[in-house]
Amino acid sequence: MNKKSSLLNLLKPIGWGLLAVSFLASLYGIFHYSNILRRELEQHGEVRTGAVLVRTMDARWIAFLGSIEIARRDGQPVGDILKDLKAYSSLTNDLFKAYIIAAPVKTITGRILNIRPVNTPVGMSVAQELQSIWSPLEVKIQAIIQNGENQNPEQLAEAFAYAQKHSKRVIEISDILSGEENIYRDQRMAGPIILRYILVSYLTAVSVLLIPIILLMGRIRKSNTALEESAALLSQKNAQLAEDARKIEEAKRESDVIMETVQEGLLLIDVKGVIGAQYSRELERIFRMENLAGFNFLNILQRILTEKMYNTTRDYLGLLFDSKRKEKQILKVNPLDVVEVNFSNPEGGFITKYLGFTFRRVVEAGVVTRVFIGVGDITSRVTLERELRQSELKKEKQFDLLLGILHIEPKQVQEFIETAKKDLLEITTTLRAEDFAAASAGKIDELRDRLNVVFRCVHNIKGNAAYLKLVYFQKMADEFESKINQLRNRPSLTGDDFLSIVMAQSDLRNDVEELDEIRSKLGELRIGGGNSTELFKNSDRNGNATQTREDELIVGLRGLVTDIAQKTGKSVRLEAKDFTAESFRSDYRPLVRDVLIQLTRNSMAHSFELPAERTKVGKGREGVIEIRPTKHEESGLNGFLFRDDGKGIDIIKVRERAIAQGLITPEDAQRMAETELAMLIFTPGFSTADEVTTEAGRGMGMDIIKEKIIDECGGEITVSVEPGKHCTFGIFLPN
Amino acid sequence: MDETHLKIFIKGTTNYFGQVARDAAEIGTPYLKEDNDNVILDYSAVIGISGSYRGCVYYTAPKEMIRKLIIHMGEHNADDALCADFVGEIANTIAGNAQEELGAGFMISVPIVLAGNPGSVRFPKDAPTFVIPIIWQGSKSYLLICVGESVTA
Repeated sequence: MNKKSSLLNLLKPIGWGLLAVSFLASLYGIFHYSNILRRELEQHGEVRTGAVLVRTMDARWIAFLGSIEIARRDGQPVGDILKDLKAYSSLTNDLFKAYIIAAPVKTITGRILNIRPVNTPVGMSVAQELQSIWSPLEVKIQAIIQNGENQNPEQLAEAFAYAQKHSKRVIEISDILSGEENIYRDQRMAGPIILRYILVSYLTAVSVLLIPIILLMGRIRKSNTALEESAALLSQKNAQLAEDARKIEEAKRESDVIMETVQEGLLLIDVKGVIGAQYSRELERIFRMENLAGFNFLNILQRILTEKMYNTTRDYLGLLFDSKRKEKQILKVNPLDVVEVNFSNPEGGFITKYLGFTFRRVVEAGVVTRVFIGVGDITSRVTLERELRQSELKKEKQFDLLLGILHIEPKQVQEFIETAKKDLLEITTTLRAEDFAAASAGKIDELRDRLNVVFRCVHNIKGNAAYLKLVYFQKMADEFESKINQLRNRPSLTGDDFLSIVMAQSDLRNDVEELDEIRSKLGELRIGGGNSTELFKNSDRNGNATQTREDELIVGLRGLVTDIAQKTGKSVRLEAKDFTAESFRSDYRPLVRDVLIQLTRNSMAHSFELPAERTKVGKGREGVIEIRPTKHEESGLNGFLFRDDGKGIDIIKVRERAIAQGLITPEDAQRMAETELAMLIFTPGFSTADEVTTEAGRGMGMDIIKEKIIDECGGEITVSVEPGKHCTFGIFLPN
Repeated sequence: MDETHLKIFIKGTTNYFGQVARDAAEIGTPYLKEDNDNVILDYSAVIGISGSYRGCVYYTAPKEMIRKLIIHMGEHNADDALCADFVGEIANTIAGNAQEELGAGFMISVPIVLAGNPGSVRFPKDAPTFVIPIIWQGSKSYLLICVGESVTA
């Protein structure tokens, strides 16, 4: 297509040139024809003049010959006449020949006549005839001329006679030539001649012009050849380029495929942080944005990083583009090796991902022009690592918890969990109570009451943990109690003061749930193992199987006694003849257990003396706790007696503390019986312990027993104290 | 997340009432949300939290309280849209205060406001949810905080 266009473009000026040439040639032809016509007419005139001269030549010959004869006769010199005759003879010769062979003829006057043959048959014929007439005469005249002054009258007469003889014919020939010349002129002037001249002119012009055209064409041909060579070269180059382009295209396609399918965000940024045109598709998925080319990388990071991390990253990129800094060192401190990013969730909150960034410099002429960045979505990996880490921590904790419950009957563990959950839920219920929500000044007492409820719940958990020797929970509950105690000592309370309580509750709840999980798994293990009872069958502290199955509660209490005795340096044993928790209503059994635990812990903490003290006052070295079933004398309620042979309740101390805590006035104290004073230990927050330990000192516990037994269940509590000798509690529950 | 952090969110809430409404709010006793608790009132705003900590903070209030608040601030045309805006504004104040206190490592999302009871709101399971009653002029609203520490924090 291009070649054709080029050819057309090349031919166009040639066409226009030829047209112009045709026009010019036509003009030239017309001009030339006019010129020819003029010349024809001129020559025609000259030919006719020649024809006239022919006529005069004859007269001249006769006149000269007559003049010579006359002069001869007169004896006059003939030299001049001969001279003229000679000139005319030459003229005649030229003139007559010119009608056969065109030639210029110089007249006597010096005028040049361009005579040409009269090319008609007649013209040609008479011209030959004229020559034939002249030729004998010329011989004769030449002889006369040769004779000079010695003219031969015969020769003269002969010549004269010859001239006269042909004079008429010469005159006729002269007329014929004139007439034929007219015919011949008309023939020459006819149309075809014009056209011929035009054509000739045209052809001449074209021929003349053709030379440069041919030269031009030659040049063009050469150019064409060169062009063709160039075209061939160009074509070759184009083919090469096309091949290169194909390879590039192929490479680009491959590159695009790689960029489309690579599971990593790949990009280049310039010194301003602008993302280049080529980046992997994965990048859009990772950044949750499309058409990233031209975006500023830092602006994207600013949206998904915390302000702190963004600032660090911006500074880091500055270091990467600083050619003076060593890349190796910079790469070591990559802040985005593993980074949490957060995308706004249209449905609220964030979508959190973990990304890993790698950086490499692109150095050109010693200058860092760009930085290559690889971005990977490592959420799965990080999450898995986190889960593994958390799982490890959990397992460690669960293993500790597991070790802590291996010695306990599964049923007891379950009871502990259920009780603890119940207590924790009670804490929530208490704190959530509508009338407790507003912590205005007038409601501080109400807040304290509820705080006490929370404490009792926690204390109960602690007691149960101690009973089962769940040391971890015992410690947790104790710390919880410490927090509650801190609030109890504040002069006023507000709602947010309880934050520490719910935090501790949250931790404890979490631990209880974990314990429940372990218990559940352990249960499955036992079921799967088919030997569920062996490990947890009744045994004493040393793991020796007992001969008869003793009440599980008593076994637990005995363990609790031993534990506390070891911690406090006391020596106590627990006796429980004929007692079994099974004799109580099933819904009271947990309460019976809680009460016994609380009483045992109280006795261990407050009542029993150290062995040396006991020996000093005449008691046995080992203290005794005795639990036995009984019936309330008045109400007939079933119950049990809990008796310890320690120093009992220190009535003096109870009195002092009660007065100090404002529970009674000194006057009240004076008139109150010992039993009444002893009942003060059931007042919330009352304690006779000098210091707080995990076993006692919080002033809580006995009030729980009172609340549960009397307030909640409608039971009875009796106290019998013989200071220094023993203390006996009677606990009675409805049948 | 410890007690200090919880107090920051509570402070943000009380600041709103104290400074914007110029009538301080009382803080009720906080408690732990149980799984079956559904503390959602008429208007609620959820703020997503990420960065060093992860989770969400949720403020929910009854229509009657928000209307009272709007009227208290001099605007008598307390329509539903305005009520929703106010709850969002309270959530924004809480978020802004937390951002200021907890620093640059703390990311807070734009509050999402829910009008009406959406049924239930999902809270992250790996962190406890603390419910803090906010009482203003006798009306009770709630601030729910469920925020745990981030893995990479």
